[in-house]
Amino acid sequence: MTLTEKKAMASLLVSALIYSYLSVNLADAWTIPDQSAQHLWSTWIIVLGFGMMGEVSVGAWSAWQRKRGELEDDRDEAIIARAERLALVSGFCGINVLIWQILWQATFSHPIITTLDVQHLPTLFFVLMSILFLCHGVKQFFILLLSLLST
Amino acid sequence: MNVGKGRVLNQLRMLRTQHGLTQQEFASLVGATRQTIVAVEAEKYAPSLELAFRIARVLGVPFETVFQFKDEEVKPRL
Repeated sequence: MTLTEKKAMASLLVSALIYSYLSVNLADAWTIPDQSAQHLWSTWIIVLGFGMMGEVSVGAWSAWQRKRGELEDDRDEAIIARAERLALVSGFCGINVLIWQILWQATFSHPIITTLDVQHLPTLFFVLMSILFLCHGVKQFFILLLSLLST
Repeated sequence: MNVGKGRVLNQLRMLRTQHGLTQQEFASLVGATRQTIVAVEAEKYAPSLELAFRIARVLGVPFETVFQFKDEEVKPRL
């Protein structure tokens, strides 16, 4: 396993843990109940803090590994660039799904199919945070997959 | 002269084994990971120009001894 793959694996695990915290903190089974603004703020700050701590830790660990002789080369850069493009596409799709939900609810007072309640701020907050995690997760996942496929 | 699409082929595996080097040893010499050497040998990854020159230099052979460019055959339109 290359250093890039190890970093992607660690980053994916960290983000999965943080997303679990976010879900447990906001969701109740498959619904998002009403939350106070203070709760949303504190959740966002904690998630941001954990995310920064996690990424700084992964970065520090990889710098230590590089000092010990591990390499990141051209192929790793090419794989990261492709994974980032795919993450961008997934983010674009995620935002467009949200836009589609808004348009759907703006057009019909009682949509036939189930939609996200985008007028409910905790739901909107959770969906937007989920899209951020989706982008990050897709990037790390594709780094691992593309590395595996190109060897 | 028009040059169309093609594939980068290489003789890396043969030349490396002639030098008696393992993939890990060769990777260390050219400053790449073992996985990159595996991918280049399997022709699943075309290395950057810089890495390709480093590979040729470590092997002590001209660039074109290691890498060749094969044109993709274009089927004539009926």
